Amino acid sequence: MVTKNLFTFNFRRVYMTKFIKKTIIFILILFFLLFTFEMIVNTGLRKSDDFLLSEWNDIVNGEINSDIIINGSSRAWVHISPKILEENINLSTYNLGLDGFHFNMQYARFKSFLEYNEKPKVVIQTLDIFSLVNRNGLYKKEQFYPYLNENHIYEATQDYKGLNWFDYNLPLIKYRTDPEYLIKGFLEFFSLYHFTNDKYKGFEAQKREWGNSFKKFHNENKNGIEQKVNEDILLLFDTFLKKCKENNIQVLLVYPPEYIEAQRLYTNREEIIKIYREFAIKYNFYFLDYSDSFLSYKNKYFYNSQHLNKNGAVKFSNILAEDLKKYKIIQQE
Amino acid sequence: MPTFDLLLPVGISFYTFQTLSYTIDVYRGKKEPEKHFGIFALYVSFFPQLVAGPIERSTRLLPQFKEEYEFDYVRVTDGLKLMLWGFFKKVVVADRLAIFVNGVYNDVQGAEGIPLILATVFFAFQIYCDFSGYSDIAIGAAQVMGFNLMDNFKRPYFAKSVPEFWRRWHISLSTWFKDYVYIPLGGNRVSKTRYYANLFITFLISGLWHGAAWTFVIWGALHGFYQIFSLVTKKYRDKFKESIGLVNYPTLNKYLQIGITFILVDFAWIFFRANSLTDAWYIIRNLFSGITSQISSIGMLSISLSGFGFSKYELAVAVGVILIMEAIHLIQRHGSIRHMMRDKPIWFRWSLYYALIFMILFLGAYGNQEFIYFQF
Repeated sequence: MVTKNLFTFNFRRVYMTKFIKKTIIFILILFFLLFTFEMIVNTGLRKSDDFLLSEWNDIVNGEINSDIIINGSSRAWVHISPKILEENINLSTYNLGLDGFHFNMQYARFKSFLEYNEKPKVVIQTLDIFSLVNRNGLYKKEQFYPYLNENHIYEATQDYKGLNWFDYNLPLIKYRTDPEYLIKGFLEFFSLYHFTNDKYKGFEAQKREWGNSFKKFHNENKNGIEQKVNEDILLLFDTFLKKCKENNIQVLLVYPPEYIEAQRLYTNREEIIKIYREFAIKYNFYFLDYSDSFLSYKNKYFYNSQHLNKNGAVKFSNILAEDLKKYKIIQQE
Repeated sequence: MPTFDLLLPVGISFYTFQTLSYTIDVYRGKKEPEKHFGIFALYVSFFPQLVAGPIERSTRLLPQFKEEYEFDYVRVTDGLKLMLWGFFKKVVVADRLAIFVNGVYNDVQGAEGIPLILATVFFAFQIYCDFSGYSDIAIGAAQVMGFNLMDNFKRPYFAKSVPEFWRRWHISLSTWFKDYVYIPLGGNRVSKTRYYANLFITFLISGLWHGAAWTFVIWGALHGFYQIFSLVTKKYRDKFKESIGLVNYPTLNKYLQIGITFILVDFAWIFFRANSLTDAWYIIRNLFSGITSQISSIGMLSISLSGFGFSKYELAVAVGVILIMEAIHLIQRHGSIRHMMRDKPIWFRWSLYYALIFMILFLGAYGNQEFIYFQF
């Protein structure tokens, strides 16, 4: 009886040990595979010219090194053509405009740029009514996946909702909601396909006509809207200007054209513009406000109230280039 | 008119039925009353199958709570494998298909033709994978702990007739209705008219079990009608098959039967999934509207599908994972895959497990999709 019990005990223990050993080996191999695939996908995506990734790749690969950097939101991305500025001013220009983000992420992108590239002579910082406002959601979060180990991007993305602990700490898991980027990464890594986009140094003119989105927006907000300035972002904006001043980088604050009827909708618009003006005075930087430009009065230059279409963007880029020359804002060496 | 929605505990109909079967069995003298409150409470609230079954009989499950269990390597790993397969069905197939199905069925007026057909076919697979996926997870989890729960699904879309479908679909509920509704009504040992009435009543109640809505009632009634129609016309159908020589092609005959059964069952699913009777009628009326122009303009069709949350990529993934699942079902006809796998080398077995895990992680849809049957 004793022998039988001992035998049974040993038999069970052997099987339990086998199970635990196999489980550990299984998990270790799983993590090895996840790490390997993450390395493959990230490396692949970091050499891609995919629409969302090309500017980030130019930044982290140190391929920008331009004299003029255009920084801002989509109002930088679709409004200011580096090509037109280069033709007029003869200084290399790159547009870092980041669609869908306010100043906190714009600054994170700029800091990443400074980390890997030579500092520019001039930064054209575009502004809008939303620049100093906070946004919760991480817009098109797939653009950040290959760079979550970059300090500035890691810190900036943490302020938004969209990525969780698993995305930051477990290999490859962040791609689970956007598996097409897994495929893109593999294809790029093994040079089976190269994804491209139609942007020129970050800029993309929008061949779009004025739609009815503003009419709808206007009807929904007939009593006007207030944009709440976030104190932390305000502080960040101040830090940005201060650091640029310290590093001898000239900053040009630009408020591109905004459709006139939209301007009237924002109840605290003047207060926000005043903040920008005061910053320009504080740091002795130029502030060019195109709110009253002839472009702002005609919707044929826009595709929605905040964004110029191709026709408007070309005209605005030429106006800006002329003003830069006229006011001798950018001193050529 | 103000509406009043009752706040019901999740899975109430499952443990109500499980407890009912115990009460009836004790009343009929088939089962001794359980005197240990803890064991009885465990029977009612056994966590793997508490919210969506399988609805276990007291005669099967209660004795298992009194046994002692030892660690069994094969049993534990088999349970984990079944859970993995259940997660694949739920997260990869059901939740992915739900994106499109919900997009179409929650806005039926905006769809016609192919999107409606596709959503209806997808729903058949969605509800199967959602529910059978949950059952697999429940059965697997119980198996890891040493408990043996009954099979709830046996590849139902391979059924060759609607009665056979019900022997393969939600088996624990079908057998419950058979034992506690259909047979007490007299079953088939009565006159033909009464026999048909018994069948119809059983399916009508089965529809009502799913919810107090006309859509569920019609779904149940349709299945009742299918059963009766199948019995009444069997002789004529057999004669017809013989006259056209179909009996000489048994494989073709079998796949035709499978196809027709799927179409009938899927047609009934329209009522089950539609948000209202008006929506269900709209879907039926517009299933084939504009289909020729949609087929001739694939580009427009692609835009139309993307309007319901499905890109070409997602459509390809959805069809791909359904094909993978059905391929595995075809293999399962020859026996349990878990048993077959035991003879295969470790690199082969583990490669398959990793492939499943990677599919769950990267092809799964993660949008807080609840199990459909939690609501019943």
